[in-house]
Amino acid sequence: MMMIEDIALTEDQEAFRASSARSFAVCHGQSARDIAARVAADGSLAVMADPAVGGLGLGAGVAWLVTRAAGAALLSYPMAEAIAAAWAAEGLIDGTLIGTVGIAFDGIVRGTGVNTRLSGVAANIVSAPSADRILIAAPEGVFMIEATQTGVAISPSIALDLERPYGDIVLTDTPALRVGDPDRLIQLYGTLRAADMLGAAEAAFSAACGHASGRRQFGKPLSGQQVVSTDLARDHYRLECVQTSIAYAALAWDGRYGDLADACDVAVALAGEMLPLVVENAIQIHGAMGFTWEMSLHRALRRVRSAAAVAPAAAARQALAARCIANWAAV
Amino acid sequence: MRDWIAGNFPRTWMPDRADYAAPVFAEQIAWERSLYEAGFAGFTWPRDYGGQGQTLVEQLVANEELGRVGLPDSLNGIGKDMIGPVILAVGTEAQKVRYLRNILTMRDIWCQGFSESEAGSDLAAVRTRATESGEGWIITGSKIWTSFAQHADLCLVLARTGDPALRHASLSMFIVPMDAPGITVRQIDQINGRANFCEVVFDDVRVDTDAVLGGVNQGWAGAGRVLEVERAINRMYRASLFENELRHLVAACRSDPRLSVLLDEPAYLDRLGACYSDIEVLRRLVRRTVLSLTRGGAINGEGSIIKLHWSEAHQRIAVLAREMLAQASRPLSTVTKRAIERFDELYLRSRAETIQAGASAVQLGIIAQRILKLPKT
Repeated sequence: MMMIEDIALTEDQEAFRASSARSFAVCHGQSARDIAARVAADGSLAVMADPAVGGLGLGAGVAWLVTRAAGAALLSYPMAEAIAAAWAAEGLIDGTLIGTVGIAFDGIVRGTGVNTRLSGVAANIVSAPSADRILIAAPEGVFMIEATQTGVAISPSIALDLERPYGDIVLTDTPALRVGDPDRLIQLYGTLRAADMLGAAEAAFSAACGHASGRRQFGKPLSGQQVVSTDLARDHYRLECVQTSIAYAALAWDGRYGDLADACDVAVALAGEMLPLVVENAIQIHGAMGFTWEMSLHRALRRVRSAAAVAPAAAARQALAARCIANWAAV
Repeated sequence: MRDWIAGNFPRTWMPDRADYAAPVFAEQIAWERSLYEAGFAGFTWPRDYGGQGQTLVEQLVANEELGRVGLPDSLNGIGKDMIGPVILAVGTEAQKVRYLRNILTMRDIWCQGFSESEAGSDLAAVRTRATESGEGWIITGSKIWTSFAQHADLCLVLARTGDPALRHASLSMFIVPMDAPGITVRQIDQINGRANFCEVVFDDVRVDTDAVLGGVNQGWAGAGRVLEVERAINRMYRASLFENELRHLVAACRSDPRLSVLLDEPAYLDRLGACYSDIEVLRRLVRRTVLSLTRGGAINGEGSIIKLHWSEAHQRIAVLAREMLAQASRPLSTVTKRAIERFDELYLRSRAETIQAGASAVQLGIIAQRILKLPKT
């Protein structure tokens, strides 16, 4: 029988996912450093790192589930970024150093080898103010810099995320270590970031369904109003589209499905377009209560909107279209 | 299969060709018969009944090949995609032997007599009545939106056989020959200039006892399966077909100086990318469902997600195509003219796709009730 790609998890993979989720669930209120130690101890940080350097090498097919769980828990730690950084560079899996990733670098790269220097701005980086190592993706490669180096100025970015403050980095002739090529890192990070967003949106959606089922007005639950149930059904449809896209992007990254660039752009585009709508509707369903600081829905909204801005959905869609047009012309 | 299609699919039937000429009825019947004789129909049907005895995976792969060339929808799609599977599921052995092979060989064209003027989304409100009489049944009532009834040899009719107050539990399905006395077919003009929907009136139409499919007052379960299948895994060539359409649009734009510049405009790149994303999502949703079914899982409400997605995505493709092609250079080249014809027809036809086979509002209702299990009261 011909086979088609299998997105189901093995028992071990499912167990790993469940373990990470349990671990994240008890991290509320902890500092990024404390969380770093915990996620290093439970193996989450090493999920993609090369076994040759102590990693688990389980692939994106498992890693996306870990970052999805992190998003669901609104983890105060750059899980997607840290996993991607740990895959790309050594020394980031034991939790003593916090790694993050920046993909919007506007600057120049001079020199090679030990003489490599970066000058420019890398904006909108998750948890940059608390990071020790920052991987910057530029056309010339992926470069790792140390946050405390001379020539590195980190300032808070204007982003909504409360759990993971974003930062902008100005680099002035900063020494950097080239650790790899940018495409795979950007694609991996995009997939894992989309998965974090998915987890946050799913948690908000679950709360919305619970509220709509339990809250009674006009003698029946809110979900008894067709417009409410229809809106929630549409959000479920959106989540299914995004979840399927991320699962297949992870498969593609692991070399098990189709075109990697297309798969990752689809995942990033759909996550950025659809997930904020799901969370916004979750707030809508909750009425005025959804607008209070006390409810966690605004935290999910902040997380999802901020992450969506790291790599705009429109840019992913346009890149996807440009590639299709070029590929179809070649046929 | 790709080689077979290359050697047997008439080039002028490819809708993205400037010399496109739609097949006439008899031509397409003959071609679909040859498709079957080549082993490319009835993939999952048992060999004993004319099928290939293969899996949904093979059916999916074959569908992807057929979609790539832009094949026309089957003239017996109702029979192949819906009624055949229902007969397999709930039919007697005699019914399977009598009807299934003839569906695949195109000897019997089927239509589906379900919807009525007062029973569209609320199919359980069907009023067409079937009354036992002597050695059979007498069917009286009328159906509407019956696709291809004007060509059909047989009709699967959903009729009331019990107390209407019982709604779903008093419905039965009947296999009715369309040449039976008392049947009148009236074609309905559609907004796209075609007339493939019909009103079918049953005026005391007599059928034999063995015309009952699936048991008396058990029609709803069978009908439910028809609708589930219809939504989830019929026409698995859609993603490939939609890609054929998008490629056609891009090729047409590239052929025209005023249109080719649109391919560099961010606004249009954005929408083209969104359409291609839609296609990739459809592809993955279908593959996921096929995998689940192959492992013994049920369709449940997943078919509604697929149907909601492809029907709305197809409309978006058509809207984008029309908007871009409207800016073509004048006079129109044969290439752009053909593309405009194709997408104008698609735009109008696609308006029905969010209505037929369960309107989008119905699909969302199914998702809310069956998947999310949201309470109503």
